[in-house]
Amino acid sequence: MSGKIVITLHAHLPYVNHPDYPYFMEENWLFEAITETYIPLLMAFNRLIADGIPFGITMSITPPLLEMLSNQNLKDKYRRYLKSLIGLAEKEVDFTSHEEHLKHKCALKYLDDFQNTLEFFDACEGDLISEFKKVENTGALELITCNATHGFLPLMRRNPQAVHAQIAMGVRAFEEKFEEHPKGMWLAECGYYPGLDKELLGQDVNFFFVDSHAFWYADIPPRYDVYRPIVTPNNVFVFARDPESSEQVWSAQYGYPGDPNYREFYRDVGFDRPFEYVKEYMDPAGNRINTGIKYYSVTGDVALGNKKLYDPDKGVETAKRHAIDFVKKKVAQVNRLTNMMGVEPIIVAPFDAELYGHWWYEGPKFLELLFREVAKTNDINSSTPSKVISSMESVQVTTPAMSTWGANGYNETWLNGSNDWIYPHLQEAESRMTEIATKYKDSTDPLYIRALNMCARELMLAESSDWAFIMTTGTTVEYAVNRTKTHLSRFLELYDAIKVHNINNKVLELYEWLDPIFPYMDYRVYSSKQ
Amino acid sequence: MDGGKTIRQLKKEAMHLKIKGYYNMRKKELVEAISKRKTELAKMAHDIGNMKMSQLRSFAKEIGLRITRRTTKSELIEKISNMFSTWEHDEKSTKQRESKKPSAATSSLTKIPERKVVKTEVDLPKTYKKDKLVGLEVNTNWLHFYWDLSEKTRRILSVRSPIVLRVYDVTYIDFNGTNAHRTFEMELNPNISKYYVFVPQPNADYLAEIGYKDGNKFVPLLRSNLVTTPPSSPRLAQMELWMDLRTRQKFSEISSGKFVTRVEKLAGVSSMPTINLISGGGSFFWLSGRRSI
Repeated sequence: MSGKIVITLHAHLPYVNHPDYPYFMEENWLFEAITETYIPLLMAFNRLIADGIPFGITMSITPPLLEMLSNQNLKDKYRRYLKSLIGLAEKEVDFTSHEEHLKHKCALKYLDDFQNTLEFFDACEGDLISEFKKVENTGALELITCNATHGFLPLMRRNPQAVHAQIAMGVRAFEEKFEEHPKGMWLAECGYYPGLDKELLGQDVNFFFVDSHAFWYADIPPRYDVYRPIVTPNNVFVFARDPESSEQVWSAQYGYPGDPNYREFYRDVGFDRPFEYVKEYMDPAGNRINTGIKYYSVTGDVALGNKKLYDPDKGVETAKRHAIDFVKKKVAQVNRLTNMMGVEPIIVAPFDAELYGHWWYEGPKFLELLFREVAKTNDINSSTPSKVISSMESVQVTTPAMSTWGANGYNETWLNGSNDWIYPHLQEAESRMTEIATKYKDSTDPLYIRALNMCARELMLAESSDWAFIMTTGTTVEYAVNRTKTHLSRFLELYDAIKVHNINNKVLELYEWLDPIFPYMDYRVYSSKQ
Repeated sequence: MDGGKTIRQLKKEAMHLKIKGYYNMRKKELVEAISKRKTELAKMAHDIGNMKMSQLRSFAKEIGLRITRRTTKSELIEKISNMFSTWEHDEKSTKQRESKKPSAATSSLTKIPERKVVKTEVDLPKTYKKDKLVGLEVNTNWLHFYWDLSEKTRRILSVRSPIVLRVYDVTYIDFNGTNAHRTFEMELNPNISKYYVFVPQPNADYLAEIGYKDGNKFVPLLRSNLVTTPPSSPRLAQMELWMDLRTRQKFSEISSGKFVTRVEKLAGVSSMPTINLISGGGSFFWLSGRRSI
């Protein structure tokens, strides 16, 4: 008997788009993720397909990410960014020819990689969404959606219409961009509470994911622990995370990315080179930033100054060793579980996509090698949730427990002394949104419709769980605070304008230009269903 | 307060002080991190007289002091104290230089605020002038409540004392104000508008009221929504419910126990902490509720 592994990558970045600035530091989050994660993943998938390697992987690509990937302003900026990065890599090739051999070897690799990235980007005319869709069409990839702006639903449940809008727009955005209905949804931060499944059923979402303890503390304990999906009483399938797989990759102590041979994230030429030399690639405000050109390896538990040089060949060798190790461990786990269960175990391994490539440089290579290893054995195969569901004859019915995948398993990452001030405002805005959406449900005045849609956009942007998360972690807090306040105050301004029938077209136009997420927004998703 | 140091110098210093992630920090962040780290170390340094040799060695390593095998205990103590007096000196000279422009920046050897204050141009309303008491789940044992008051309620409460927050355990109860399983009460500082409370029971329903005490009588003014703490342990079930996916028929089966034995993580410490720790299982401190807003 064999087992199935469901590897799921959750690709998400908050919506960061500043058309009013030629350069905005936080837009680099997207650019770095495209260069280091999204394109390398697509290239890995394409290589597997070209070599006829069967594989199954699931990706949730969140609506804000879809909106950014299809935004012309950001595409243009990305191309400029990448061209400039290639310029820096050329300069580095030159510069490192007088330095250690390994540095020069890396510099040549970076130049080559960045040029290939640009070639890939241009070949698909910057349309990465279609590239993912092409992989999906081969059957290897299952694409799923996420709730609209990655709002944290467990703290939104006091306003059911706000939850409804997050789910409905999450489905709608996916349909707009992929021209198909999403069968599954990744709930932001795996934030789930009993009853949410009803909302998912209402949007025809067939499955979602939860963290392990959602199953462990379910109202009727699942017979097979986290190793078979269950259905909720509302007939929505649920997959729970396997803690072993997560730990093998994530654990700070034993996780693969901490191997001494891998590339060190925190040594970057953006900080290592004299400022004048890298100046034109830095934040014009004068701050040093990461460039993605890094020459050092993790090395071990030493100060950053004592890191050894990175050897890309060793990096790939290590990724291969880890891929073999991971598959070996999965096979052992499957055999152990099969003996206990007597039925085929399903191992669910979800990760943040950006871990692969951006943080763990060799991650996409690891995944590719992992699928190549899996293809060699009959003991496990990689699959996707929809395929798993259609292979099942019966399923246990139970209600998972409220849970998240945040620190300690509940809400404290998104609700603590650093960020609790946002909830009185968010919840006030949510109830006001429902109030005006209900009042103007049948409006035909184009100006009102635009203003109401803009209110809904501002509210949803403010709801992104990313801002509360950033406030907790303490880096770029100012940006997160600003974004929360800005969207909320734009919301309040528009709400007041609608209430007193004094909508300023110029202001509205400005906001529509600044925050153009979801052009297909329909504020009626917020109106109360009476 | 960077003492006019360049970012490069600051980074070097941060590196020696083993500050995590210093490479990605901006100048302001570096200065803060260095200052915070020095404060921590300074606190530890008060104790150097009582430290054993091995402790002194590792402490010296922590603060980036170079020591050899031959360094004696007294030399070590001297070196460490010298190190701290240099820091203090740096601090003072910086203060003198900057004395003309008072700033809220932190002094590395004095008390520093917990979190930096983030200033933005946009201001949100301080109150929406509506009566509202909202409960939110933090985790299995902590709840968060925030409230807002109408002008009228604010006026009533301004002449009443004490103002209290009551939390009721109403699990499986249709609450009528007096039939809770358990009732918890605390006096509120009238200037705050949010609080975190510890509740004893996971997987239970709670709700809260805010009001005032009139003698022994509690007069409630606001009532919250129902808040349910998440469960924290496996439940028992005699029966399982299943669905046949071909017929979509649901059917019951007697639970045959666990098929998968799972070993749970065991948490523990070698000795119980004695000071400054909140009792009752909270995994971190919430201070915001204790400060006025």
